[in-house]
Amino acid sequence: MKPARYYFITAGLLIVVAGLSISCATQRQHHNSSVVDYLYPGKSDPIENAAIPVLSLPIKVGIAFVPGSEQSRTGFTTNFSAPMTPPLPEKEKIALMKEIGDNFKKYPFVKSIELIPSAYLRPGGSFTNLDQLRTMFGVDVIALLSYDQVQFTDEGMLSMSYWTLAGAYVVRGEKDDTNTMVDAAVYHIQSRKMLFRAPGISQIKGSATPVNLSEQLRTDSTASFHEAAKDLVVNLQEQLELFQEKVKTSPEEFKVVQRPGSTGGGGIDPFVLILVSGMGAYSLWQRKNHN
Amino acid sequence: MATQKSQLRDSPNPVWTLMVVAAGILAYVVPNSASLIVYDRAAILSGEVWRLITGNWVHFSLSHLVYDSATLGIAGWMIERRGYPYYKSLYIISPILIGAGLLAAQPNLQFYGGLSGIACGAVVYLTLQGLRDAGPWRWICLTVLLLTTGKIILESAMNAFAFVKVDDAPFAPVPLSHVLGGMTALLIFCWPFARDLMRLKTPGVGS
Repeated sequence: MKPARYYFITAGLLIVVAGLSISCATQRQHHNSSVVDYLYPGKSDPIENAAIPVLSLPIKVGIAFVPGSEQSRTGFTTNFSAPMTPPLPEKEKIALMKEIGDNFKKYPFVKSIELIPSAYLRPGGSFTNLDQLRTMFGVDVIALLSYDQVQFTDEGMLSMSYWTLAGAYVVRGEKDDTNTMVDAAVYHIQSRKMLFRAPGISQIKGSATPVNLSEQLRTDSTASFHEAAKDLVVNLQEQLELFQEKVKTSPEEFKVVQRPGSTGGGGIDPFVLILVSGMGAYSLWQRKNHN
Repeated sequence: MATQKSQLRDSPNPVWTLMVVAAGILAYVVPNSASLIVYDRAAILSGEVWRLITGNWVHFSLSHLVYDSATLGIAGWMIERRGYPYYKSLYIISPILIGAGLLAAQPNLQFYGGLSGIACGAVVYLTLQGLRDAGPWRWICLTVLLLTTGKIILESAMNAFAFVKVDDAPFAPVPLSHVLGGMTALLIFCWPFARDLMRLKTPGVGS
């Protein structure tokens, strides 16, 4: 017969170990891609002499994700730890590019949108790669999308139930936090000049059982990318409006020309039609009074 | 009140205006006619010179046709009803000047269509002639002339991104056609004064 003190010590040790395992079980997954790494690889001082961009309207726009450059995971891992979430799959990239492209399409000065698959972009490809894309896809301007996503996973107090084994299957003790930034930098390829940029951010919080943590992280990762893309679209619209104003007010910085072979027409706007209709109405009234 | 009476006399129906507008509608509704008469820079330079003039009667969408035809129809109707002189010259000269002006000044423009240049010319001509009339009509004409001229200047200066989409294809407004239409109207309006001035200066004339 063991003394009761023995049981108390054992139980106390178990609580301490469990507490320690909870406090140490923070994981951090990080995926990112960088426009700077893509355009200026290995250059500590990325200076490129940009020329004055000549925008031939209507313009052809390309959209591409720059190649991912970094994936890392830090923190305490256990047998329950989820495997590393893969970086953004190509299908999702195309879907995100389409979302952003649809927003550009509505502008009358945009002639076409080309969604450029990742396979066409070389890591560190720089402007040489962009020149190739310009030739291959016939685009004048490219929106380079980069991203930075960090996913934190913490175990809450509910994770104590994992000691029962059944708890690991039913209790959502894993708290995850997904922070994403998608950034679009719009470059005029020929002149190497960045026309404007806009970010889109998102934060998603979720929870999961250790068993489906990996699946939950993937779901949150994708959802967070889409949410960030939505935010990006709104910010892009604002930046595009500002850019149009800038082009009008700073003709020394940007030159706008009409693309050879374009279609144009004379169009009367409603303002003139209203004025002339008013004159017509007055003439009719005058004739009626005269008669 | 001779001017008032001349303003309001019963002139014949606006036949010329109706013909010009009807030609535009015909070109829109008759299948494949637009491709034969549209302003096409390459075709003009290879000898199809009629396109310089006929391009004015081609429209790229129903709204394009409606706005242009309605404006020209109303302005032309007032010009003819009020018996303002030389309006036929406007309908003949302005399409030629617009086509030639675009060919010379807009080398990047491959296709062009629209009656708006002639319509702008008609509005400017109507308001210039109206300045010679009496009563409120003169002030109405002065106001519309100033607003229309201001609008033409503004659209010429701020044209950078002023694209519109017709049937999902980008379409660039061409303010130069409005400028050329307005200038034609001014020339035709000034022509009688210039002619009288020349007659006075010529020895033996008017004595």
